[in-house]
Amino acid sequence: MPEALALVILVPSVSLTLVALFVAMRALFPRQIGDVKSTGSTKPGRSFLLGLINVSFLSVIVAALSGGGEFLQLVAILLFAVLVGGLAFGLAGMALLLGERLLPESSEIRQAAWGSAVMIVASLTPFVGWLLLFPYLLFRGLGALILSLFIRPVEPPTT
Amino acid sequence: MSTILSDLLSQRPAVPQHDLAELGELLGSALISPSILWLGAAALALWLLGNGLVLRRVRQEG
Repeated sequence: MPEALALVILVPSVSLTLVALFVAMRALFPRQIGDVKSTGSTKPGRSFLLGLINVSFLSVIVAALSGGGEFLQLVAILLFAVLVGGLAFGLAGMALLLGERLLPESSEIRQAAWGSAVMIVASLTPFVGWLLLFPYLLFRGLGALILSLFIRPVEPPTT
Repeated sequence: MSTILSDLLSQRPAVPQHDLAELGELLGSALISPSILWLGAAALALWLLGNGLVLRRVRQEG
């Protein structure tokens, strides 16, 4: 029973902090998050593939390095931090993309807030959200971030 | 068959505790052996290859 109570308190509070994080990232890094959104919108398949490659192999590299000496463990921690940071940027871009499509007339901060809320709640859906939607957004977001670093993003045509 | 196996297992001499500890150490050292680092190196090569291929393809597409 205490575990269930802890979950009931923990899930909404963590969700709220994530919404705040994505909105703060949108406010602090508008160009980068905007680039991730544009690239994720125009090249969804390539972004997903690139994100899948990076999460899969970087996880193996981090696991392998963490089994080495102190220096390699430090490298593993740094690599893991870069990966988590990249995932946060990617998810913030995906939240903005969702918000833009859901509320096309609203301000960008409002779009980021509502997009984040919808993304988080949808990702909490048992099985479909946990195993399909969340990994999909994670891979697509990270891939879009990496693509936007190397290729100049093209703004998608407005419908 | 299972009776024979259980008979054999029951006749097996007990494994001393210090042997189990040595076995654990051996397994632990295997987990951080250079083979894991080779695995990391292979993953690094595949990671670079995968990124390179996808980025090249995207650049070609414009």
